[in-house]
Amino acid sequence: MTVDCAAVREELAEYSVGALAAPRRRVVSEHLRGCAGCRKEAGELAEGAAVLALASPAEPPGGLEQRVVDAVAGRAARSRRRTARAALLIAAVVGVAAVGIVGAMAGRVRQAEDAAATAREHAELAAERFESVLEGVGGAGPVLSAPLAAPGSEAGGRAILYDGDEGRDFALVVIGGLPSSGEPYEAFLVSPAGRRLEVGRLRPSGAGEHSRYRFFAELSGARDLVVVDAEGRTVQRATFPGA
Amino acid sequence: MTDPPGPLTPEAEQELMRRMISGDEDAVRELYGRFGRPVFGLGLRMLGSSGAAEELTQDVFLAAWRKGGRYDAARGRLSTWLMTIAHNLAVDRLRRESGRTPTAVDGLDELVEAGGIDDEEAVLAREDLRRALGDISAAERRLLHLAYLRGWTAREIAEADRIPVGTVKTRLRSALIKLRRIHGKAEG
Repeated sequence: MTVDCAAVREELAEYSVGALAAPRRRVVSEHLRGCAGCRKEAGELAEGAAVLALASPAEPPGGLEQRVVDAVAGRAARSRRRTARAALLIAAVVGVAAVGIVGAMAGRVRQAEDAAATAREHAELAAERFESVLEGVGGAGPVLSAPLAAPGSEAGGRAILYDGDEGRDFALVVIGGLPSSGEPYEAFLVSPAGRRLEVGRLRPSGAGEHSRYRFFAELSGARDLVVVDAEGRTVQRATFPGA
Repeated sequence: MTDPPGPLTPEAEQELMRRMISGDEDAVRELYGRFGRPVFGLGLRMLGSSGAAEELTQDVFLAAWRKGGRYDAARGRLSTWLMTIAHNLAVDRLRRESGRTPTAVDGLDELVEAGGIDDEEAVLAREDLRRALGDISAAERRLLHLAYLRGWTAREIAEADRIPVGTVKTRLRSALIKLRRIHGKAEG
C-alpha cells in the first residue's frame, strides 16, 4: 500500500455512495484503475451501497420494458452499421496514407535528419486524417490522440485510441523517422498496471514511416503506447491525455 | 413484468452481458427483468417522479449496453455494477437539475416500509435491509440518507450537521460495511 493508497482509501466510502466531489472522484477513479488492493476495497463498499438500491424496487409502467429494449437494440444496430463503415474508411485511409507517403519520398535523396523531419510531418498529417475520419464517422466515445516521442530523438509520429461501441475499440500508431535496420519494431498499449497489449509490428520504410492499426475488445484502461526495437528497448512513447 | 428469476453464476452474468452488448433483445429483456424494478425504484426515490424514474431507467440500460464491454464478473456482481451505474446517473441528474434542493424522496426508514411489490424476493430484500438498518446508528442512517439518496458530499454533510469531515467519512464507511454483510443474503 502506498501513500496514494492511504489517501484514496480514506475517500472510498464517499466514492462508493457517489458523494465525492468531481475533481477527487476523477483522482480516485484513476488510482483504482491501477491498484488491485484499493479496487477490491472499493468493490466491497459498493456492494454495501448496492444493498440500498436493490432493496427499494418499484413497479415501472407497463410500456417501459419495450422502450428500453427498442432503445438498446436500436443503438446496437446503428453501432454495428457505423463500426462497419468506420472499418472500411479506416482501411481506405490507411491505403491512401501509405501511397501518399511512399509517393512523396520516391526518387528523393535527403540527409538523414531531413528525412526524419519530413517523415514526422507525414506521420502527423496521416494521423490528422485518421482522426478526422474517425470524428466524421462519429462514435460513442472520444478519440484520444498523443504524439510519439523519444528524448533526444528526431523520430516522431502519433498514437490514436478510439473508444467505440460494443467492445469495438481501436488503436492506431503512425511512426515517422525511426531508423530502418531491417528488424521490425513492435507497438504495445500499456495499462497503468504495466500490462502490455500488442498493437502490431512496424517495418518502417527508408525514411522511417509506417502505420499499424488494430481493433480491441476494450481499451479504456490504456494509458501509454510504446514502440520497442528488436532488442526490446523502448524507442518511442505516447501518453494519452486524461487516460 | 414477470417475477425476477433466481441469481446467476458469475459466468452466466458475463454471458448475459456479452449477449446484451451485441443487441440481443432477449438478453436486454432478461437484464430488465432482473433489475428493472430496483433501478426504477431507485429513480423514484431519488428523483421524486415517475417520469424522471422512467428516463433514468432507460438511460441506465443504455449505459449498461455502452459500458458492457468493461463489465468483469471476476471483479464483482452484476447487480452491484448495474446499481452503481444507476446511482451515479441519478446523482448526476440531481446535481445538474436541482442543485441542493431536496427532492420528494423518502428517508431510509421509510424506504424499508415501501410497498407496491409483494413478490417474495422484494419482501426478503426489505427484511434484510430492515435488519441491517437496525444494526446501524441513527447518525449513520442520516448519513446514508443524505449521501446516497440526496447526493450530498461529505463536506456538505459535515457543514450541515456541524461535525468534522473525518467523522462523516468514518460513519459512512462503518455503515457501508454493515450493509455489505447482508449483500450475500439479499441476492442468494
